[in-house]
Amino acid sequence: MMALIAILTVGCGEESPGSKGEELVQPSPPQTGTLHFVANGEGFAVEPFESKDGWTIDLDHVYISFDEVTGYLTDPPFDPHGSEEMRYTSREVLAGSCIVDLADGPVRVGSVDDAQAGHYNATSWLNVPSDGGPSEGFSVLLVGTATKADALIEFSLGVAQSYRYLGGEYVGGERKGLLRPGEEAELEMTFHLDHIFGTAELPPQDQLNADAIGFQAFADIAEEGRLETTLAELEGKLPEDEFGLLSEALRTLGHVGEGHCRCTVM
Amino acid sequence: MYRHVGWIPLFALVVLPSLGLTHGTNLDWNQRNGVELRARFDDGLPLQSAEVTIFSPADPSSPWAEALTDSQGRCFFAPDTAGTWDVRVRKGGHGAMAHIPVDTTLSTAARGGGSTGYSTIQIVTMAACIVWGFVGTALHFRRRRG
Repeated sequence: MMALIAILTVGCGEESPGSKGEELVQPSPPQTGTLHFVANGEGFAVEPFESKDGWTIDLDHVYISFDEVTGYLTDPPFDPHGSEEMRYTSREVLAGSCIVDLADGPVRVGSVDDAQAGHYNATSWLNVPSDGGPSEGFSVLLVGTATKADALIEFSLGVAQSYRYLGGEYVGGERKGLLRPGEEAELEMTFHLDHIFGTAELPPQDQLNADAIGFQAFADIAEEGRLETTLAELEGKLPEDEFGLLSEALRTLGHVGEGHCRCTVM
Repeated sequence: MYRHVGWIPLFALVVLPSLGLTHGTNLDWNQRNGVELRARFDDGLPLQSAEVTIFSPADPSSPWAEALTDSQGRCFFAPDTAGTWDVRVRKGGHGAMAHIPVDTTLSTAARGGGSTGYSTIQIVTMAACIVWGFVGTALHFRRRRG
């Protein structure tokens, strides 16, 4: 016992390096990394595709206006399909708002350089009408052409409504949001345009197609091969059930990969 | 990369809350001697042959195991540690993520289930029977000598 006390006493009395008015500064490893936020309209935004009702949709522009893009370290993991509020230990908010065109392919919306390391397993964002730019006044603006047999319709559909999306963990081929100190990670906000137009790749009775408006309803109200309209105007032009499908499709436009989001129409 | 992943026989289990989606994927799971995950479409049809990727809390960046759901949309795995297990299920653009809390009791049972196929209760019962066998045999020979 005495020997142990002696050892402990010697140990406590030893001068450690830097204790005489000098501070030994150990370089601490960084606890932060770079968190990127990416928006993706997938193949439907980039390549022509056939709607559920046989129209070939070719989108020239898919403008989306973002604000308050945020990544979260949630615990417990946020479930967007439940009713529980999100609980997070840390979050990173992207400064400012911006407009992206998803017809160009996946777009980096912005990055946070000193984001707290951890597993970002939830994402939220606002789609709000932009103050300027090519889609001024709209949160979502789709511009393109639709063809079927000999018919060609040039269309633009502007949405002035604001949406708040709350998503859980990204669901896709890879796991995203794992940010290690000193490294980079990515969160993705994914937009499923097939929710609006449906897709011929799935049978008509598939739930996705049953919930989609398709394009024929737009073709029916086009004049001389053109349709330049807004969601507000369509409320009076489309049959009530068709307008209901469109409204719901826009509400479910935002995803995190294949994962659905909780959406609030503002 | 399969580890204790397979199909579970039908037996009654506790059903935990499910994740409901519009034209999406529903996931629910049961826990006893492991985890049985069941994937269905909104209309109740099973998500057959869907890709299942399981992430252990010990290493969330690399899949712990990969499997496919069976014809009933089910997959079974035996966690080997406590914590939140993340399970991703995907098929043809449909997908969902389940975050399954596994406690120490389950992980202990799961390790038992993974190596012997018996639950803790079964193992304790069998041990008691063996002990009683020795005691009974000893009492039998003692009485014969008397």
